[in-house]
Formats: sequence, C-alpha cells, structure tokens
Amino acid sequence: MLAAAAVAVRTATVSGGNGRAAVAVAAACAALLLAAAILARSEGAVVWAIALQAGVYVVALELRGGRVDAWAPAVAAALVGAAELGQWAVELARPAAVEAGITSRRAATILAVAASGAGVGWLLLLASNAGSRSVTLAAAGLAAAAAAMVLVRRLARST
Amino acid sequence: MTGVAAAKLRGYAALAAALVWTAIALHRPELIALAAPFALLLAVGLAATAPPELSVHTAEDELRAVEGDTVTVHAELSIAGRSSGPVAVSLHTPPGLSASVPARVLRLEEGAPAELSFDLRCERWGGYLAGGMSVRAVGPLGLVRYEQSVAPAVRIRVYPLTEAVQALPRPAATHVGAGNYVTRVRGEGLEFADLRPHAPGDRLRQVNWRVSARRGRLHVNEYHPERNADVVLFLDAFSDTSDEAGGTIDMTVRAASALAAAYLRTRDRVGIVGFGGVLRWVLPGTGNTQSYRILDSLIDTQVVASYAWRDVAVIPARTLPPHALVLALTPLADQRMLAALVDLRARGIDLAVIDVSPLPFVKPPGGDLGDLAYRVWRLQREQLGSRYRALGVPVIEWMHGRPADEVLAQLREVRRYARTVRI
Repeated sequence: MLAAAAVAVRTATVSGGNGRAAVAVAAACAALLLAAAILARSEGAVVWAIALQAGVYVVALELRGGRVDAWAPAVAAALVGAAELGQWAVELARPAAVEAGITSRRAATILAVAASGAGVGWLLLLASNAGSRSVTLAAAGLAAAAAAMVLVRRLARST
Repeated sequence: MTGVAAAKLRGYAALAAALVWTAIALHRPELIALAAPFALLLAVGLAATAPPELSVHTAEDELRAVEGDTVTVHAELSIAGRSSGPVAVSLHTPPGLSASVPARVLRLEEGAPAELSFDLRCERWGGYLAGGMSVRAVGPLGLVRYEQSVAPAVRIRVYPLTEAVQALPRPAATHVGAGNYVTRVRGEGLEFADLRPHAPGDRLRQVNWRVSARRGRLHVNEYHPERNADVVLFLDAFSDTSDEAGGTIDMTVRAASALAAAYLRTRDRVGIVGFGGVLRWVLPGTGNTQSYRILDSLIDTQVVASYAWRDVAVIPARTLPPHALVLALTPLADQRMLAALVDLRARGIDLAVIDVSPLPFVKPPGGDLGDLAYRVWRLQREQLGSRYRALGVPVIEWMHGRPADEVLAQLREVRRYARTVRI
C-alpha cells in the first residue's frame, strides 16, 4: 500500500494545469481500489487496480505536456512492487503454514524485479533521449537491459 | 498436473501491451519505461516455467478416534525434475472434521521428499473419507500455477463420545451364560441362596462344615446362578429432525452407543438393528470386538430416504433372539416404525420404547392453521404413546438436554412396577 500511495502522490504531483485535482482524486481512488482488492482477496482485482493506477499516471503525463518525467522508472518499479506485494497479501490471507525461508526469498525476488525493472526503464529513457545523438549509448542501454533480464532469470530459478 | 495461467499473467501482459501502444501513440518514452518491469517479469517468468512432476502418498489407510480427538494425517510429497517454486498443499476436510492449519507451503528438491502432517480435529461422530488434497505448484514469479488433486484415501472412523449410564433396564428373561443378573433359581453361582441337607452327587466343596458340625449332619450351600441376557437396540433411521443444537438421529446414536457399552460391560449379548431406508444389523454378541462392531455400525447410521413399505419380516430371525429385551429408540414419526413396534410386541417380544422427542428441534409454524397443525401433531404423538402403553410397552419421552441415565432410570422403574401384559 505504501508503494501504491507513493505512485498516487507522484501522479498527483507530476500533472499540471486544471486537471490536477481530478488526477489526484483518481490516483487516490486507484490506491483505495487496490486496498479493497486485497481485502476482498481477489488477485484479479489487484492487477486491475494497478492497471488503473498506470492509466491515471498516463493521463497525468498528458496533462503535464511535452516534458519527460525522469521519475517514470521509479513509478514503474513502485507499480510492479505494489502489484506483487498485493498478490502476496491476498495469498497470505489463506491460512497456511509457510516453510521458513520462502518469505525472505519471495521478498528478495520482488525487490530484484522492481529494481531491475527500474534499471531497465532508466536505461530505456536514457537511450530514447540520446538515441538521435549516440548509437553507442543506445547499444549500452540495450546490453544493460539484457543483463538485467539475465539477473532476474537467475533469481527466478533459485526461487 | 494441469497448468493454469495466473490472473497476473493476463493482467500484466495486457497492461504492458497497452502501455507500449499508448507510448507509440502519444510519443511518450516514459510509458515504455513504465511497461518495462512488467514485460521483463513476463519474459523471465515464462522462459523459466516448466511443469513439475509431483507425487503425493498418504501414509495411513484408516484411523479411529473419539469425538473431540485430534488425528494426524501424514503424507509424503516428492518432486521429479527441477524445482521451480514453492508448492502449496491444501487438505480437504469433510464436514465433521476440521483442520487448524489446512495448508502448507514448502519448497521441494529432487530426491528429498517432504513429510507433511495435518492435524484433524474430530468434531462429530461418523465415518469420513479424508486425505483429499489439492497440490499447487507455482512457476517462477508466479505466472503459471500447476494444480493436481489427490483423491481422499484415508478412512477416519469417529466414535461418539458416550455418556456413562448406570440405570440399565433389566431384561425380563435371562438365558444360560455367565453374566451379572442374579437369578431366583438355585444352581452354580456366587450369591448365597440357602442351605439344604447333603444329597448323593453333591460336591465336597459345597459342604458347609460349620452348619454340618452344629447339626450333626452334612449340609451343603446353595447359590443363585448369575446369568446374562440378550439386548437388541432397535434404532429408527427413517427420519431425522434436527437443528444446529442436535437432532434425533444424533441423540439416537449417542444413546445406543452408551447403552451398548453399558450392557456389554455387564456381559450381556448386545445386537443392533438399524431400521430405516437401509436395514443394518449386528447379531447379538459380547466382548470388546462386539463393541467395535456396534460402534462401526452406529457411525454409519444415516437417514436414507425410501418410500418402500418395510416391516419386521425383513429383519433376519437371528437378530431378534427369543426372550431378548428390545429397546427401541425412535422419534415415533414414521408409520413403518410404528407398525414394526406393534408387530414386535404382538410376537411377545419384551419391548420398551424410548421416544427420542423431535419437539425441541421443531419450530412451530406461524399462523392459526400452523398452530392448529402443530397442536394436532403433538396430540397424535401423545395418543401414540397411550396406544403403546395399552399394549404393555413402556414409552418414555426423551427430550434434548435431559441426561440419558435419568431416562433409563425412569424406564427401569416403569418396567419394574408395570404389570406384564401377555398377548
């Protein structure tokens, strides 16, 4: 919920113009929907609440105008983190004895996925900014993205 | 195992695709960055997904317990091939059993089977088929779930918690066989009866030396022999009137269990006839084995709807031995049972009826007509009791909450002072 709240705050601050208040309300509603989905123990609803948050962020970016939001990868990491933690919360609502070690591994995987996603996002943003100026930089970005994928895959295998 | 896409697989794919298309349409690179973690998670998760091969074996075939006990079901879980992610095992519990922790989440490695144990609390008597499980293995990053069902294979027999009864109705007739009833006749036994002069054939150990010395002539002791009796518990399984607090079948089974245990303790031969849609019987017998036979038969007692007419002719003759005391436990609701009881009495069988009253479980219907119907029904029940009493069959009403021992004491007193009606 903290990650969802952070996304909602960023969404509200990134937008500009007359629609700022409406965007803030919509972002708060999306965060509340996520809370409701967790309480209702619905994994599908968690995903749709995250999709709604992403949609509100897209609207906020459009209201902002032509400037690129450099914090978009962080928003993406928070979104994926909120989605994964939300799904986990739904699973935890079912009574079950969980073996020691599974919880810490899962937490590490979620953190790694969010961090890798943010890293890939930043590299993509960097590549898009420098794309017209430097082919080498773009290639470096792509290589970094591939390396991140390999890292996450190794983590996934060990989970 | 059956693979099922998790909700987030479809959701993340749709979200990532929508963000990419929106990024292209709006010329916003941030949206590509927004889609990146979701696309990355999908790509990695799907690439690393492989269906696991799991096998589950339950250790027990059959378990026995008493109401309130906790039994443990053990299972061994093993995996062939590479482990992909955590495995969740959920135990299915039939109504009447409950598990405090019905699921386990664990990691499996090839060649290292995991031992699982589930504690099941036995809430209500009955025969259960338990041990059914759902095994769910989650792929890497939880995008695909592989599910497998394990059929229940553990038979759990939960015996009713019986109330201790002391005041047992005494059978009118006994038969030869060591028991606890001291008879009026004289013979071999423990209870002293009288003295008489020695007669040829008397054994030396019967001689009362003190009396013989005082009277100057040999005298021997006489004793009352101890006998046992046949008791048949005749259970009405045609109907059940119940609510959350209990029901007539529940009361019948508990009372029958207590009666059988008490009569077997006094070394009587006890048999069971479950008279209902399905006829069940246990031939009279004695001993510990018989008590388990009776309990096994009792916990399978249930109402099986049947409209076929049934009378005592269908009961095997050996089930109702001559001179047996037949204790009928019935809510006096089904005509077939009522006719069978009259028939038994007409055959001269020593019969007593415990009326397991359905009144506490019946909610009187509303309205004048409903009230009238309820009163008529109660009057019919009272009239039925009078009819049995006229036949010389004692009928004692047993209301829910009243101790069984109190009912049996009342029945014993009625039988002690009532005149036996010969038909």
